[in-house]
Amino acid sequence: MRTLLPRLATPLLLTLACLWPTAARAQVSFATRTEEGATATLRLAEETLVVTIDQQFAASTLTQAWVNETPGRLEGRYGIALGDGVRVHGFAYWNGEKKIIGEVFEKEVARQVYEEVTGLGRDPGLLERTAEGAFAFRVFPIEPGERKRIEVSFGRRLPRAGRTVTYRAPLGTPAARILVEVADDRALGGVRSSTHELTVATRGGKLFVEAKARTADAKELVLAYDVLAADFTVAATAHRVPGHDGWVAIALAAPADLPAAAVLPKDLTVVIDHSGSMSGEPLAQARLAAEAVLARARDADRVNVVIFDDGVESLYPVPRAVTAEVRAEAIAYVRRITEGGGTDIAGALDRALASQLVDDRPDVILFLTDGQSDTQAALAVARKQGQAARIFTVGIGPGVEKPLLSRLAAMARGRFTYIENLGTIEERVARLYQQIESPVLIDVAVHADGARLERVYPRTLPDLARGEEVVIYGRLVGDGAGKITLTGRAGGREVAYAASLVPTGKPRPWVGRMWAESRVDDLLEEVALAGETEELKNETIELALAYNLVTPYTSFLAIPAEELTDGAREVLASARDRKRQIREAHKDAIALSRDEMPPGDPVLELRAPKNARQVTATFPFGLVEDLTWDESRERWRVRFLVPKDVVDGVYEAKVLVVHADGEVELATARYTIDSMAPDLEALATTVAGGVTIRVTARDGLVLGSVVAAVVGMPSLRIDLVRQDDGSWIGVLLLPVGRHEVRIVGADGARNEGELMLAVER
Amino acid sequence: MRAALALLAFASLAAAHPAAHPAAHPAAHPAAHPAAHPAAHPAAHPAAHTAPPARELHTRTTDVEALAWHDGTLYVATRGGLEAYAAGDRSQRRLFTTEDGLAANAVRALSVEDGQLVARTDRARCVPDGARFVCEPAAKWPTPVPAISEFAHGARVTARLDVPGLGGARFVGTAGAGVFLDGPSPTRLTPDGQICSNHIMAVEAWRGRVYFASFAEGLCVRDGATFVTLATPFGMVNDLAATPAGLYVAATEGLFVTTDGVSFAPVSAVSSRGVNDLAFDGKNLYATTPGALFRIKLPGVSGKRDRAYWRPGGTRALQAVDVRGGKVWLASEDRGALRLERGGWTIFDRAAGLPTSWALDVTVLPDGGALVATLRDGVIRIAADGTTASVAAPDPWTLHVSADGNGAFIGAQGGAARLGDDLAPDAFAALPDPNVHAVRRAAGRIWLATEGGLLALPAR
Repeated sequence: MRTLLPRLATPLLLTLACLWPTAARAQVSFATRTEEGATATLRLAEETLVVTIDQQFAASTLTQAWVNETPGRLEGRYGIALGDGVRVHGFAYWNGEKKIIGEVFEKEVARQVYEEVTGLGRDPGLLERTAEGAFAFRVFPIEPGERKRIEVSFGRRLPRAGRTVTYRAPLGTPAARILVEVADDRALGGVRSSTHELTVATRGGKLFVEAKARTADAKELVLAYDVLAADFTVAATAHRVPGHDGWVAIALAAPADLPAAAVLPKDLTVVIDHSGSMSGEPLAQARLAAEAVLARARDADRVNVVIFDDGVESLYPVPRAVTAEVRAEAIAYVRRITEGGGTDIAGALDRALASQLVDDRPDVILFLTDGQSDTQAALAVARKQGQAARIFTVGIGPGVEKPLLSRLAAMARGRFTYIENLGTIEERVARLYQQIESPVLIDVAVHADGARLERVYPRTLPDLARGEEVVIYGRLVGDGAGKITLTGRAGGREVAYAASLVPTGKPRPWVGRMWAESRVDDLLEEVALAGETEELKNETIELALAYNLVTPYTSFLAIPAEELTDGAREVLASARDRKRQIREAHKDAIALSRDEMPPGDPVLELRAPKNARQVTATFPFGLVEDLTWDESRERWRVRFLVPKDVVDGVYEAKVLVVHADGEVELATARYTIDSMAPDLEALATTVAGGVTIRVTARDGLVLGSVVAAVVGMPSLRIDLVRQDDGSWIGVLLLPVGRHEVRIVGADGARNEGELMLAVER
Repeated sequence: MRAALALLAFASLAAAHPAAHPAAHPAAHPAAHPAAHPAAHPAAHPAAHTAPPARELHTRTTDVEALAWHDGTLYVATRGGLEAYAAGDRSQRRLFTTEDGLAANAVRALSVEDGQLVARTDRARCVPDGARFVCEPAAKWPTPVPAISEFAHGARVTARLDVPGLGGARFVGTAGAGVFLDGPSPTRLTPDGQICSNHIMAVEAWRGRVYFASFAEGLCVRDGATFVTLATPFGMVNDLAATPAGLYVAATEGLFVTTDGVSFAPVSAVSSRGVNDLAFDGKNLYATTPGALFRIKLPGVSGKRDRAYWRPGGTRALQAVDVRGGKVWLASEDRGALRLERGGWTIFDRAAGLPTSWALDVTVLPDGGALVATLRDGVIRIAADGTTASVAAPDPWTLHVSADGNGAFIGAQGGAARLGDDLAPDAFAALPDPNVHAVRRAAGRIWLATEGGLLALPAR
């Protein structure tokens, strides 16, 4: 008996790792066709958008009813583009009067169920990510005359520019019924919309807004309002649950209309990737963006330009004061850039950093690249420099190593901008420049009095620019009233802005959700940069299951119960059982550091309240151990040993939790002891320079890794890559002649199977 | 009346038990519990001043499994052996362990059958035989049913015993806090100064004292004849490294250092948790996490600058590092052993011809080659030229390998051995538990860290 391992995304299971900012407009679509493949159209008969905004966190539910007015059965693909930083929190559809609700499951569970059910010709709904901030799922069948209802809920913290907070949502029809409720601890005003006529009422300190489209083609709601609090007012919102540490969201906005004297002169170095992959449109756009930036540099600034491929060169040894001549020379230098070779981000960054002058001015590096590079080398360069220079990274196109650029920016108090649509590069960079040209608060730090602030995201706080807002999420330890203080330097002097955390008793679970999303983003970035570990993976999965987040390890699946096979039903029941434990605040996650293993020493973790009276694990081999509270992990943990004489099989460890209020709960962690080596099958095909090797495991076993190496020349080796069909493929480069190739495939418990292949080149 | 009974009971036990006399049983536990067992302490016997260091077994008896009253004596089944108390007089304690014939130090249950005390370990039934115990194989002790527990003295209550004939004495056994004579003024019977865990993972001498890293109970240090458990920000410890800049601790919670032996600070050069092994080559400290090898420049030590090697050789599951004579070797669960050469990693795994890719430990040999401990394929010697050969080990399921002069120590799931210069094994006999996680020469002794107690042998 083996369990299947979670695996990376397949085309059927495309999921959202994290949302990167995009310029895409919010929009909704429902493409349909007949069973013969002809295009068909559904009529959107009804649409309702209900929005609740609290302290700039917007939770939206969009419900639509589409009518099939054709004589035949249709299938459709429902798509929704939500835009910058929006996460889908749920989706559902109706079969007649029955609502089929999407649930987040571990990817492997979703995959098993999906494959089993589709194998029988049935069609579960699987939410896929189609682009940045855009999602789609297939709907089938849509019977003639059927009124197909769809519901999507999504959320985000709304961006604020100066005093203005803006909300956007996609709409299918201008006739949509729209209700928006806005609450805030601060005074609000100036509610307005460029797309809709608004009716605004105030009741109980909240704003209630009804919206009707101004035009017959309005397909988006844009709503804005102003926060009327005094400049530099800290907004601190806490959410506490008895028995848990709390969560806190902290925001500080800088006014957009600060006088020019408050804007600090800076040294600006524009770094441009001109590697081969940038050739053509990307490089042309990057040149335009750089020109725009250089044209905007202020007279008090200094500028420089560094260009790199696999070599690095710069216009000046160090940044030079902006004069008409320097500006012209810099722009001319940028215009002369042509495409080159590879991509050495570390080298370019090192050069840019080394050329900074030592003085009190902010050093700003604007880094434009489309490529991937030596991640660890680049991080090492950024780590070495600390936070002396601000690094703003701009990733261009789909090949960008987003986690690296995001981390580089975060390490240096900068910001990362991802530009997927090349046509928007100039506009996006200009907007970014607005942020970096006016750092009004630098070296921002946050601390709490009366309570302890832990696990703060982002890890490094960016500078606060004119009109911009910095938003921080953290865990709050302690029940006291507390005070949150943000400190920094403005105009060369130390400043501090504080807010009291007064317990209101009002639950605000979105604060926990936003923290969890930040934490998941951080975990996934860590996985991308430093490699996956069981600890990182398990924590990501637990948070994703607890908060319905789609990640590389979790997927949204909606499936009618009657379409489930017995096997799928069993798999889902088990998955729901685990999820139930996670989602109920006091009764949540239990996880093993490994769920497939040979005898060894895994760690058992349980999310249960810190104040639980008893947390005791009973292991099937007779061991009884009390778990201990791990403050940093915020979990109960115990390390245990699986004796080597335990026979292969699936086992359960039971964990008894006695809560502070006396409630008793029994959680179960299943694990598989597996010592059987997998049987492999392999096929080699000669190609130019070597052989292509395809490996599969017999009996449908899932492999975790496959390596091939030449016998007698083990440095000639290749790590094969997993394919969507479960096979593994790689091209092994060989010298001319006959060779013996040893192929080793390992399963989830790292049992290894071996196969020898004779090949000739 | 109670005291008289107790003294009588203890006296009868001691008279029948040669181990109660140090000269007859140097393996009794003098260093671990001197106050509890004064008659067995070397200092109490003149001959002890001139005798070589005795074989010592150190266990921890704070995890109580069962209690029994028999023949005027309180018997306490613990995970560190079977204690016999003269009715609550803590100065009169006797500890029976594997040194006294028990099949294991974790005693699960007690009963009195046909007027005879019976102690159950996981797989044996043991009865007294004169001054020792004799054991016979028995069915595996069943897995307990999860149950709600009372709490007393800050710990889960695992056993209670009322002794009506002893003035209504009530004894309480706990998970982790020991055994108590209950009442308005409870008295803890379990002696203080015990080793911090029955499962030690690493032993290291630093600034004249010997430190012990435990599997899940933090860190302790030997202080004269007893042990002091240190207050630490970590619990699950994997390795220790003594350096001029401090004692470094590899823990599941991260890398920590102490410069005073008391307080511990996190080491920022290692950003990850799950630090699983350390090596110090006299210049730099090396630390591994599953995903990376960190080379760390220590304060006040002229080593190379900090450097992190992420996923060396493609591994995601590093286990150990050793450095000697400039040679850096790693052990991993998925890439076998790895050797740093000219900035790159040479991989010795199953694809390269080793029997397995799962290595747990590695130690560098004087010739620049290495010994590699594998999960279930024994110890493999990889010579400097890359040729490989199996080395005889006590058990193919190995856990530990460390250089010892020109030889090496091996710890396995089935025993331990010292390899001589010719790499021929010389097994350590009569271990308290077959699973040996570390073997270390320090402070004139060889320390064998098992899952069932810490055995100290005279250095040889």
